[in-house]
Order: sequence, then structure tokens, then C-alpha cells
Amino acid sequence: MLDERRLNILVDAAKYDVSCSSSGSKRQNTKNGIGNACFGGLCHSFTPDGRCISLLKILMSNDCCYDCAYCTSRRSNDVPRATATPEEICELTMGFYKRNYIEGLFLSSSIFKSPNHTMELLYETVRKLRKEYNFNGYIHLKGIPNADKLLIERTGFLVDRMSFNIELPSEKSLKLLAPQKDKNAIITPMKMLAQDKYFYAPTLRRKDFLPAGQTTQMIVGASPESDAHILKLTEFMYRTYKLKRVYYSTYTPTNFDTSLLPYEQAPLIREHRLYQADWLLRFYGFTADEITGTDGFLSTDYDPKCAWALKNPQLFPVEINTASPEMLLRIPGVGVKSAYRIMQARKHAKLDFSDLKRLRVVLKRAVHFITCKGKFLGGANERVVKNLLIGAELNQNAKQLSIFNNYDSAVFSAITGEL
Amino acid sequence: MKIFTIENSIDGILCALFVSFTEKIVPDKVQDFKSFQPRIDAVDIKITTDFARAERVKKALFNYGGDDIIYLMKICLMSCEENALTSAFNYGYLTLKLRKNVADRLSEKIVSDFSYTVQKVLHERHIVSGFLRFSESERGIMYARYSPDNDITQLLAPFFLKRLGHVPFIIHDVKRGKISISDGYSIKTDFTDLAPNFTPSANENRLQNLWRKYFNSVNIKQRPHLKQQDCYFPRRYRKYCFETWE
Ligand code: SF4
Repeated sequence: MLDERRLNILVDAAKYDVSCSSSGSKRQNTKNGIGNACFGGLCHSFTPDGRCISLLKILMSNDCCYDCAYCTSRRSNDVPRATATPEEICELTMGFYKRNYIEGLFLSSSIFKSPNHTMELLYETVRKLRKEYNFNGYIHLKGIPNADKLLIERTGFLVDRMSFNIELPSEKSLKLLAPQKDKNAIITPMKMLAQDKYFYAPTLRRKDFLPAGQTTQMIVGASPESDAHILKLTEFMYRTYKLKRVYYSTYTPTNFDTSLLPYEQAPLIREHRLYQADWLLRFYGFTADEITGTDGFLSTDYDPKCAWALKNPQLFPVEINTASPEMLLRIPGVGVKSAYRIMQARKHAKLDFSDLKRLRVVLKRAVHFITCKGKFLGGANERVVKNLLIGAELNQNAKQLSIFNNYDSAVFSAITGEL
Repeated sequence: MKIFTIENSIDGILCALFVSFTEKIVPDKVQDFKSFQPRIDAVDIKITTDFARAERVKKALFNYGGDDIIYLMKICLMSCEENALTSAFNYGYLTLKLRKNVADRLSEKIVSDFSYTVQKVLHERHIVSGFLRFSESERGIMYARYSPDNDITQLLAPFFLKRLGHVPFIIHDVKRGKISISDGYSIKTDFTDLAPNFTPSANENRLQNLWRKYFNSVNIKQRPHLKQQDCYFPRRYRKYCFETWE
């Protein structure tokens, strides 16, 4: 079994991957198997940095032959190296899973020897887990760019989710900072998996092929692209490759030997706003163009929905008892759950502000944008409303600002919070 | 003030509903007769459980309230909230009075209270199914101790039966002395004063150590955020999550 030294190295190198989600897949246990997957996912622990542990997040190897400027595992960096065997990863996963420490495995790797060799090791690990250990829990596998197409496709039948990290928001930045990777090596497998999923959809095998879809991750702040650029790319990927999630990871300087990278960490509020905007793209029917400001960046003062509402005063206030579902979702402070509750409850009676409180709708922001039975309780004019909204934001973020020496909590609040 | 005292079970609630409608008495409170303390300002009416009556009310509730109403009322009874019995009773009463499924009427206090109580129990079941920690005995039985706020052992055990397949396990609610035992095929739940005699397997210590190491390695030390950890992982649930122990 894996010893403590290698476990430390391989986990330490994997921990900056943002995704730890075990959602999107519903699999039953089999007759002689162990494990299942629940659609909403499950958190098993929370570390002192506020992040959840759902999956065993580990690298197969951190012995990389590439040299991406922003990465600690890059070839030119003098760090301890380690590699695990497929058997060792399987044993550890099964041991942890049986004890209910984890929901499954998130396996990724540096490019060890060559892309195909690495992908073969990853494939062998998940094959063993599924076929020899009869493991039916969740598996997320990070694909290796430039690996053989067939190998990637076959892996898709064994895992719940795959991700190819786009890394940087433009081809130019990718060329500059990760010279061995190219756009096509990342986009092509993503496209292929999206097509395969579509192709297998009408057949009996559809539930076996990447049931939890694909995700990707990009680094924010290592290169000069604007929020508008990032969100348009995100929107494009959601639409074209049917991605389930795009994760953003604030650039943290680990390499001071190059002038290609900024010396300072990007402000964490930027990542927080990107997650909020991403949420609006996926669940609230907004487009990237609507959300970003004229300078191409998201407001740091207000969340993107508030900023949008302030830009469109002609649409507010909205009467809560008659507004369309789409418009309810556009009210700052009203999330998907609240909108649903409002729609259910208003079928039976006209709602006033006390009813909204009973429905547990948070009124702090919404109050400035709604009427109930014609009554308006919001701020008297635009300046007052803006000040109150900033106050509400500061209050809510009093906690979060401390992450803003810690980006992950911002990520977290965006992942779990509603706008 | 009128108080119904009943047996703390779904049949107890159903019989209280039967009496309420047949005798035309609407109680202000419903309480478990085991924990009931008589009050001078209240009249208490003791309801005995009668399965035939309970069955009649159950049929009517299914009829008006939909397929999951009894399930939801049972969940409500697992709550540690003081008013859980009253809340379940009121919800059943409203359903029978209006002869309708009232689940959507969230602006009514009775419905929102009931729904909130149910959600809290289900939420605890959900998070605890992640926070439970099993240890393997030398005979290959997985054993987990915990002390939840609500009485959720019966909800948790089927989840692990599905998940662990034929691996036998025991879930022990230390607070209530309640134990769910699975032989890998079926579940039996009972009360016990005894702690099972547990001898860990040869592998157990090593895996626990690796898990502790994993927990420490995956944490980003430069970015502490204890408030967030406390928010998502309340300290009372860490009692048996040894990876968090100092
Ligand atoms: S290929 Fe991956 S592991 Fe290797 S240097 Fe680039 S980002 Fe780091």
C-alpha cells in the first residue's frame, strides 16, 4: 500500500485542483459490488481551509516532463517526486471508501514519461477499480492532453466525470506559459467526449458513458484576459461541449524565476465574482454580454445580478405576485429555491412581505427591487439603494473577506450560495 | 388550553387525528405521554393507540395528501424539535380539513413549520451520511458510533445497506442507545445499553493514519478559514471524525 511519504507528495500536488464535487451521477450498487453514487454528491469532511473533502484527490505521479510556468510540478522545479501504482491507488480508495471517508476518487496526474504512458496508467487504475474491485462509487478522472483518442474514449465508459483543463483563457497565453500544450490537445478530446456522449445517448450504453459529464478549470489572473473574455469562453464551452462546470482558480505565484507571470496573486474577489456570474449563466438565463460591464470586468462592489439590476432600473420594481418565473429569477437576492417557493405559495394566496419571510426568502437585497401587493419597502432613491446594497455585501462578506486571504472559501460561498 | 397526549409514533398521531375529527376537539398542543408534565392551565386528553382507527386515517391522508404524506409525517416525528408532534398533527389536520394536498401552501404557518422541520431532519441525514466514520473489526464488521441531533438511525441504515453491499455493519446512536445492525442483506433496529465489543482489524490503524495524513496534506495551510469549516462541519459532528482531532 501507498506509504505516508508518497501520499503526502501526491496529495500535496493535487490539492490545488478546485473540483472535489461528487455530483451528477446516480449509480446503484451491483450484486457483488461495493459503492454507489448519489446525484447530489456528498461531503465527507471539511479541512481548516474551509474546503470540503468528497473525493480522494490524488495524483498518479508528480514527476512531470512538461514545464508549465505556473505549476509546482513543472520539470524545472526542484521538488520531491513520487509515483503510485494502479494497485496502490485502488487499495487506498477501497480502504477509505469502506470506512466512509470518501465518496470516490478524483485521479489526475502530471505527464509521467509521456502522455500515452500516463493515460494508460490512469486507465488501468480505473479499470481495476471497476472490474476487479467491483467499485461502484464516484470516479472523476482528469484526462491527459495529447493522449491517444481511443484510450480517452475507453476511459469514458469507466468513470463518472472527466475533465480536460483549459488552463488559460486564450491560446496566446497558453503558448506563452505552457509551451508543450496546445489548444487543440485540450479542445479536441473535450469535443470528442461531447460528441460521444451525444452519439451514445440514444443507445443502451448512454448511462455508462460519463454520466456526470465533463468539467474544466482555468487559471484567472496569470494572464491579461478580461472577465468578459473569460465568461464568453465559459458560455461557449457550456453551449458547445455541454460542460457541467467550469472552475476558476486564482493564480497563486509559485514561480518567481520568470517575468512571464505576475509576482502577486490576483484579487480573490475577482474569482468570487466569476463564480457568481457563472451561476447566472447556468441557472438564471443570463448571457455573458448582459453581465459584464462596459470595461469588460465584473463590478467588485456588487454581485453580478445586483450590478445588472442597477443597470436596468426600468425593469424594477417587480410585483412578486404576478412576475414571470424568468423575472423572479432576475431579482437580486432571489435564488432558484426562493423563486420556486414563491411560485408555489402564490397559487394559493397573494403574498406580502411577511409571507416572503415565512418562505425564508432573504429580503436584504430583494426589498429594493420588488413590490408585494403593490407595496414598496426599498430605498428611496438610487444613491440610497446603492449604499444599502454595498452595506449588505460587506456584511455578508465580512466572513468571506478573510478568505480573500483564502480564495477557496470565496469559491465555496459561490458554489453553495445563491445570488 | 387543550393538550393531546399520545404515543410518540405515527399511529399515535393518526389516532389523535381520528379523535380530533370525531369528537370535534382541536388541541393546542400534542405531546408524548411519556414525557408529559401536567399543567394547571391545561386540560390533557390521553389518546390510546388503536391500529384500526390509525389505518382509516392513513387511508384518508393518502387520499388527500398524496403518496408521501405519511413518510413526511414520520420524518417529522424523528425531529428533536419540541413541537415536532404538534407540527405533524397540524399538518395532517389541515390536509384532512381542506381535503387537499397542502404541501404547496408555504405561506401558511402550519405548512412552513412542518416543511422546515422535515427539511432539517433530512438535511441532518444527508450530512451525517458523509460524516459517519466506520472502523473495521477483526471479523470484517464495520462499526460506526455517532450522536445526531435527530433520531435518524432508521433513515441512515438503508442508505449504507445499499452502499456497502454485503458488508455487515452496525450504526450506533450513542445518545439514544439505538443501534441498527445489518448482516449485509437486511436491517434490524433496536435499543441497547451495551457498547459492542470491538477489536479492530489488522489494517485499521494504518488506514486511519493514512486518512489523518490525507486530511492534513489536502488542507492549504496558507489559507486558513476556520469559520467556513465550522459553518459546513459543525463541531458537534466532529466528535467521531478523528481526522479533525488535534
Ligand atoms: S503538464 Fe500539468 S503537471 Fe505538468 S507542468 Fe504542466 S500543469 Fe504541471
